[in-house]
Amino acid sequence: MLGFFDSPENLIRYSVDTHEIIEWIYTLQTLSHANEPGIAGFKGGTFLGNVQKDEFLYYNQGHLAMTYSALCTLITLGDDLERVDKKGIVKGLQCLQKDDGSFSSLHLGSENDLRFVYCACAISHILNDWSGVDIDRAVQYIQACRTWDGAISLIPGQESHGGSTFCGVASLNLMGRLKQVLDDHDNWRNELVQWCVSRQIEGMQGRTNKLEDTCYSFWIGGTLKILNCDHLLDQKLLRAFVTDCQSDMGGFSKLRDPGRSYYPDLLHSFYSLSWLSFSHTTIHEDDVINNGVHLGSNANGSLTLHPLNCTLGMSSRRIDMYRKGILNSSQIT
Amino acid sequence: MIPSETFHDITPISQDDGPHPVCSIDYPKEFDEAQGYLRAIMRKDERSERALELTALCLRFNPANYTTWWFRRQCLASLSISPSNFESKFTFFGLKFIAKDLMLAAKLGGTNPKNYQVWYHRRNLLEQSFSDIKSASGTDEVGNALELVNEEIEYIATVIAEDAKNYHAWSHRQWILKAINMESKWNAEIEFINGLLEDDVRNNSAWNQRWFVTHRGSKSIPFAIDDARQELSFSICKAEQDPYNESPWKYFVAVIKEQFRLIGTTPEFASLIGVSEKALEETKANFEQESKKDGMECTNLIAAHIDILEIKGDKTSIASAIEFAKLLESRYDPVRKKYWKLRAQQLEVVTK
Repeated sequence: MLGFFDSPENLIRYSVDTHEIIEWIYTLQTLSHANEPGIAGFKGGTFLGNVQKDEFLYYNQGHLAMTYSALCTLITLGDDLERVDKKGIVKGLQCLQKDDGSFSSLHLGSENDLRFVYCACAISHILNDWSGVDIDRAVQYIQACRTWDGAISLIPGQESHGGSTFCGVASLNLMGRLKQVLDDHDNWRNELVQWCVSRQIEGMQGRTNKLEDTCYSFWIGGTLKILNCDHLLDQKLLRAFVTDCQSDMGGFSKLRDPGRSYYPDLLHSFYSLSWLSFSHTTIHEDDVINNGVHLGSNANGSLTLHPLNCTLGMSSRRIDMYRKGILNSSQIT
Repeated sequence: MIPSETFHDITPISQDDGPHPVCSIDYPKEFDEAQGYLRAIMRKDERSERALELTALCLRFNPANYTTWWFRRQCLASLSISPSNFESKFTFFGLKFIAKDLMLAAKLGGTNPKNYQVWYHRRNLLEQSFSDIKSASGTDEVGNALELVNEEIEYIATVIAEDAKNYHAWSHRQWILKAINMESKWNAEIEFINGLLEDDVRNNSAWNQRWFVTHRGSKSIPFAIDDARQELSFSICKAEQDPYNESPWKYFVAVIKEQFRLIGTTPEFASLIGVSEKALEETKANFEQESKKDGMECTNLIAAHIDILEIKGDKTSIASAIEFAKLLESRYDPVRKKYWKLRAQQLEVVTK
């Protein structure tokens, strides 16, 4: 979004080697095993130590959210995913889906909810292979998560929430079932839109009668974008809130008064920039605290953000490049 | 923290982040040491008391490590003596282990109330016992299980007392109520919810729980009309305390919508929605009289009224709905003016 990787000077100045990062990510890959179909994917970290290629450790398993993150990161760094065990990951998805249509994250066992339905859908979309997802059952689960106030909860029966609402809507979009579910379902689309716009105070709150938080500008702004209704928000007010949450040490925090009450963190920085990227591609100088870092600023001091593909939660340009790369390589063979 | 004699026979395995680690973590030395032993113990698959202690130590440093939690459960299961002929899809843990680990989870959960792994561990410990209640297999098991249920419900209440909207706490609570499905517990839960709404009538988690409990945790058990009337009375009563509050108005409309889907064409429904609309209008009038303010300011009240008018669907009602929507757009709900403009347009299409 910030165009950091476009500028070789940045990579040199900050000693970033994209190939090293790609290699490190691949060390976290767990390959499928004949005896255990469910374990392929990517781990989150190296806490299990070095596992040799021929060593089988049952608990050396991929985690769905890490697999999703790894694939997005690899694509963003320009990798072609050739070394990814795609078939293994897709087989693993099958093992992780529950009878009620939800997914858990780990073959060892974990909670199951809409977060992992989203991860499974995003992974299937990126790998262009839906054989690991029973779409009808996944759709049923999302419908079961519809709340009495028109939005989507994380598990059936629970409270409507911005994060789960995004996961549900984005998943339906990826599965190609958005129109069918929202428009066949007696006014659900309208209820959803109303719920989403009702979450705006200045910034967005994640649940009714809770506090604003910059990350919900993405979760809920993103949901509305998928529904082609994000223009219904008071964009100016939301932008003022989000940019106000910038810290002079860099980054965004979840609320105003950063550095004193709340510190900036990666999550809120990512989601604030994400929303800004697909709602506004140009930020003006007075909106952005610039610490002199070269981020491809325009001549007039404004900053152009490259848009996020909000359904996938990753760079639009990069996912397009990856897809074109697949086409190119298939043309060669 | 680890007495060196305990693992004298074990060679710790280092993490080895490779030649070009990304985002290296600066572990405290004790943690790194403990993890080193754990990696070795897990490679051996040694499910012993000392392994159990080691996992507790590692989890104190990082209670989010799901692999460590898994291995801890492997140890607990191995050290437990399951009853003969034990057959269940759930893992058996001995009672003393359940009690001990619930305490460990509570300790770790205290500073980490939103940690998914800790809550999942509690559920894993309890699910076998709770299934005993359903199957009523043997009085001893059921007795123990009921005690665990009561203690767990109490425990969750303490977490909710700290943070009345802790999503994990509410999810866990819903799971228990549904798993045991006891009328006495459902009823007690209403009292619990009422208490929370006394503390904070804006607690949307409590409102959600009310919907959950009154529906016995199922979408396929909608309200009978008498229950619907009761819920409408309840929500109006709460809305009156603060007509700006979104939660009771959304609840109010949800009850009406549910009845509309079930019996929308009946005279009973016509009566229900008529009475409801009157109650809403009375609330607005009372608010205006007491506060000397314009009731249109209570945008959530007006939004509920628009929903009701739309459901009524007759020409006059739709015309009123359009008028309200236009007022919200032009004056009373500026943040959402674009939404209300669209809503008015949608209603105008209905009229045609």
